[in-house]
Amino acid sequence: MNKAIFMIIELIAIVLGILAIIKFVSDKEILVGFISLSFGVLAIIWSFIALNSLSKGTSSRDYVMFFLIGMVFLFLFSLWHVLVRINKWESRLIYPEYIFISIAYLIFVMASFRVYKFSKEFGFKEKTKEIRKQLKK
Amino acid sequence: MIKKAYREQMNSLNEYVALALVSSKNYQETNLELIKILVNEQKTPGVYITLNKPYKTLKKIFEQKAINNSLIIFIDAITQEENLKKTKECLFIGSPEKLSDISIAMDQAVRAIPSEQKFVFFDSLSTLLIYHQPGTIAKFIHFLSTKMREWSVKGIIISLESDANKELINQLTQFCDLTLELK
Repeated sequence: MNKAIFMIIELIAIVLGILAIIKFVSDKEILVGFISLSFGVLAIIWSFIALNSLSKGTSSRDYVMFFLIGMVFLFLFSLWHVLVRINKWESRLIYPEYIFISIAYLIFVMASFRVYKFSKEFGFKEKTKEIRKQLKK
Repeated sequence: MIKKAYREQMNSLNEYVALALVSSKNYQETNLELIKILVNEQKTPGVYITLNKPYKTLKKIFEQKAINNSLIIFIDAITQEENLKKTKECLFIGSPEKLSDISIAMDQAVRAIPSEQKFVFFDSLSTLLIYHQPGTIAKFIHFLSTKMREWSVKGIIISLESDANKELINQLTQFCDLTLELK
């Protein structure tokens, strides 16, 4: 019961937050930027909690670590993009945006490779076939 | 060695979470007997999580006792490996400290078994006490027993009977359907 109430309160808070952003920000691109940033913060917080809950030196923790770093760079990209838009920055000040998004993609490639390795490590396809054969005997 | 009443209970139930309290003297024989009932008599495939003996040793013992290894997926958390390593029969976790990897490996292994009836054999709770705080183990065992119900398996958690883990055993008993006192 308590959980349901908390969830409803959280949902109302999120909706009110979004409505407040819509009310105070007139530029649509900046508006989308702020909403993206708020989701980014939430993603980073949850990833950070997950990272602290998992045992050190485990594959799952490695993956979450890569994911978290990737998320941070994606967040920095969005933040810089919003700042560029608000302050109407030009020329060299735009470049960090490209650097952040490039690093984010690079880290997500590494995270994907970890997931690929993870699936190899934890998959039991061959053994499944063997057990199936044994059970048919 | 395993009482007739316990055997009957194990045979009559399709899914359960059982805590097996074993004396250090009869530890190996009791484990082997339980596995024999599950694999050879009931022809149930399953997952054996070992924190006590390395897979290599277990495999030899099982072969000597004519236990059908091919129905078992082994998860070895005691053989020292720097990284995760996998062979066809066994996944080596590297250390009993890596509870997250043990949990994920168990989940994947149980779900990979192509049979409605399956078992999970956790050997043993007492070894976890060497590597973790009792609070952490209590949480892990609660998670494990909940998962065993979700997987609908015959779950057996082995623990040595000693004063050191009495409190933990008392906590664990409330999560289990059966307590097998195999002294």
